[in-house]
Amino acid sequence: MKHTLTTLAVLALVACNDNQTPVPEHGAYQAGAVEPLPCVPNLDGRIDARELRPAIGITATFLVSPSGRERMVDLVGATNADGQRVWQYATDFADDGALAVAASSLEGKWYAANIPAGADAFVAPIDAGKRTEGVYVHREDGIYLHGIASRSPDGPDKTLLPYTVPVQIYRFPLEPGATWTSVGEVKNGTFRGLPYAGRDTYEVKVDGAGRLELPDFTLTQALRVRTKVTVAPSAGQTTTQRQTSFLFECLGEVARATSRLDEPEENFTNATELRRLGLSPSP
Amino acid sequence: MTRVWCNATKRLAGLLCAATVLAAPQQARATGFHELGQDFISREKTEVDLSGYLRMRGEALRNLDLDRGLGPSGAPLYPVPVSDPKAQTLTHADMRLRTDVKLYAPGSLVAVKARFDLLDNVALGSRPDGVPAAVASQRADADLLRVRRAYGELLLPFGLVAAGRMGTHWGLGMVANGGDCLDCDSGDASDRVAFITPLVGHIWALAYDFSATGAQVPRRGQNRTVGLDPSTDVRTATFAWLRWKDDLTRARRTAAGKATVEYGSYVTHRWQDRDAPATYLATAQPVDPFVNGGAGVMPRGFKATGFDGWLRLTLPWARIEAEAAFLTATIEQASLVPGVLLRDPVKSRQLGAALESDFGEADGIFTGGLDAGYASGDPAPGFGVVQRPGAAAPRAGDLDGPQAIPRRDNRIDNFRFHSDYRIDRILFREIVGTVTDAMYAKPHARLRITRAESARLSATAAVIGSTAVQASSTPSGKAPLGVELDPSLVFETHAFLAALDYAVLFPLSGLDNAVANVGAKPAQLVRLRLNYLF
Repeated sequence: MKHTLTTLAVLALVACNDNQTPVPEHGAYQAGAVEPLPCVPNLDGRIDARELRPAIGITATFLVSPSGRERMVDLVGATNADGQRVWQYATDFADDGALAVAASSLEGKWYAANIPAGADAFVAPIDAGKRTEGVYVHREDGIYLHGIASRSPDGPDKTLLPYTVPVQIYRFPLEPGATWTSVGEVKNGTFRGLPYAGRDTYEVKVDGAGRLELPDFTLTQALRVRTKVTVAPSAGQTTTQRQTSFLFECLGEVARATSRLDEPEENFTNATELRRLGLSPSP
Repeated sequence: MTRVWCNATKRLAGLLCAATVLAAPQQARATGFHELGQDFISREKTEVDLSGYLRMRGEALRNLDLDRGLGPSGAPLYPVPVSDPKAQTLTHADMRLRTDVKLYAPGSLVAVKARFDLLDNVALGSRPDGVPAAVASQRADADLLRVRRAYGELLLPFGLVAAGRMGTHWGLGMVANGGDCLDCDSGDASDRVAFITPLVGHIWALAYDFSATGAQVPRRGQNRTVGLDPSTDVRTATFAWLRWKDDLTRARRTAAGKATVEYGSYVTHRWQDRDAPATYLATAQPVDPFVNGGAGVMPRGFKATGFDGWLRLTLPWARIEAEAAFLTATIEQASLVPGVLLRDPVKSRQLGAALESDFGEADGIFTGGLDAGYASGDPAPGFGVVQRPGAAAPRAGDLDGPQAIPRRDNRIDNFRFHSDYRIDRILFREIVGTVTDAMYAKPHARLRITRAESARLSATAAVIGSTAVQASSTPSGKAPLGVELDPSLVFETHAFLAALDYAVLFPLSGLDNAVANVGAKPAQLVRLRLNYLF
C-alpha cells in the first residue's frame, strides 16, 4: 500500500485580504493606489514565516515531467568559479507539461469537517493530476500538514487521511543546517476506498544553498530541502520515498524531484517526477 | 501685447536676437533648446516677469464605454457610473492656475525661472470641507501647489548654460512635450544641465539629465542627503542641433513672400547599470534593499537610444511640419524581484511620425489642412499605453496592458505619442490614452467667423480616421478603430480664450466585443474651456 509522498506546492506570496480600497466618507472618488508587492526577497540566506505565506487563488505554473517517465537529475550540483553551488535544471524538455497550481480555501471541500484545520487552512494539490489534495496551515513556526484527501468523494479512489496530530512539513526559519522529524498518525482513514491506518514519518533537513538554474529564470539563493517519508501502514509493507525540493524566498517551492519508492540514495539520480516553476501559462 | 527682446552681446555670432510679437493671447512658453536664453536684455535692476493662465474646463462624456460590454479582464473600455453601470453620461469639471515667474538679475547675464501650478487639474468640488451636503468651502490642502520648474540661465560669451528643473520640448511635441498648450495636462520636465550655443546659423545643444537618482540617506548634521548607490542612477545625455527662426522672423519672411525652412535633429541616450526596485515599487512591508550586502540591488543593464528629426516649412500660404522618431532600447535584466534573474533581455524598437499641415493665410478667413501620424505597434494584446510594473499580462480582447510577457514575449515595440500631443478628443485622448499602435489621417479646417480689433471668433472642424497597426492589439482583433468628428467654436482675445468643443466617435470593428458579439456604439463629448491669460 503506497501513497504518494506528501508534496507542498505552496504558493508563497503573502495572502492579502480582499482588496477593500476605502471609499472616503467625504469628497470625490479617489482612484485606488497600485497594489503593493506582498513579499520582496531580502536574500538573507533563510526563509522566514512571512516569506513563505500561501496566496489563495494565485496560480503558479510548473513544468512537470510526463507521468511514467523518469528524468535524470543532479541533486548535488557543482561549484562555480565564485564558490557558489549551482544546480542545473534549465533544460527545457519538450515533453514537459505545464501545470497550473493554486492554493484554495478549505471552505466548501467535501472533507472540511473531517480535517478540521481551522479558518486559516488552505488546500493545495499533492499530485500533478490534482486528484489528491493536502490541507495545510501556515503558522509563525512552520507549515503543518493536517491531512490528505481525494479531490472527489466519489468513485473507487476516495481517500481521506486526517492526521491526529499535524505534521510539520516546514519549520521556520528555513536555513542550512536545520533538521527535524515529524510524525503523523492516521486512524480510521480511507485510502482508495479501503480502510486505512498507519504512521507517516517525515525526516526533513535543509542542507544546501546555492544558485538554481531553471528553464525560465535563475534563482540566486535557493535552499535545498530533503524530505524522506516513511509510510508504515498498520497492515502492509512499509515504504519510503524521497523528495528533494528547492525553495526560494517569497516564491516557495520552485523545483522538486521525487524519487522511486524505497530509494536508498539521498542523492538519487532518477526522478519519477521533476517539476520546476515556470513563466509559461498552462494550456 | 508686444515684447521685443534683443541680446545686446554681439560677440555671440548669430545669436538669439529675437523680436517676438504676440498678437495672440500670451501663453506660457515651452522650453525647447531654441527658447532658452531668448529673453536676455540689458537691465539696470532686478526685474520680475509674471505670466500664465487660469484654466477652467467642464465636460460631459456620453457612452465612452461604447456600450460594448466588459473586456476579458472584467473592465469596460471606459469607467461607467458606479451606481448605475447602464447610465450613459459622466461629467467633470476642473481647473488650474499656472504661473511662470522669471527673475532677471541686473545686467544681462543671469535669469532664474520657475513654474508653479496651483489647483492643478483639481476637480471642482472635490475637496469639500465637511459634510458635502452642508459644505461652505473647499479645503486648501498642501498638495494643491506644485512646483513644475525651477532653473537658472547664464549667458556666456560662447553660449548659454542652463541648470535646474526645466521643461523639455522638441518639434511637434510628439516625443518630448513641455505641456504648455492651454489644454495640456502633463508636460515633461527634466533635472538638467544644458549648454546651448549658436554656430554657423544653427543652434547646438548638449544636455545631461539626472533622470533618476537612487535611494538617498541623510548626511550627518546636515540638511542634505547622499545617494547610496550611484550604479542605480538613471542618466540621459542628449545632443541636438537645429535651424530655427522665431515667430517675428517667420512672419517677416512670409510677408515678403519667402519660404522659411527650419529643421533639426537630436540623438539621446539613456542608461542604468543596476536597479533597486524596492525603492520605487510599493511593498506591503518596508524593504531596505541595501541590507545583506545590497541584496535588493539588481543588475539591470538598461540602455536606450533615440533619434528624432523635425522639419518645418513655412510658406506665405502654408505651413507644413513633420517629426519622426526612432527609439531603441535593451533591458538586459528585466526582473523586478531580487534574486530572480530572467534569461532573456527585453528589447524595444519603436517608430513614430507625425505630419501637420495648414493651407491658407495664417490670419486669413479660411485655412485647411491634413494631418497624419503613425505609431508602431506590438502584437501583444492591448495597446500598451500604461505598462505598470507587476501588472498582469493582458488577454486577447483587453484594451491595455504590458506588452512584454517574459518569457514568450520579450519585446515592447509600440511607440507612444506623448499624451499631450493630441489629435482627437475621444478615441485616443480618453479611451486609449494616447496614440500608439495606430495610424491616423486628420483633415481639418478653420473658418474665421468674425474679427474685431482685439477679438476673434472662429469655427474649426476635423475628421479623424484611425486604424490599428497590429490588429491583435485591439479589443476585437480587427484593425479599424473609428471615425471621429471634432468641431469647435473658439472665441479669443489677447487675454481670454473660450472654446466650446464637441466630438462624436463612430467606432469601427476594432472596438467591437467579439466574444459577446456586441458592436461598439457611438460616443459623444462636449467640453467648455475658459482660459484667463496674463
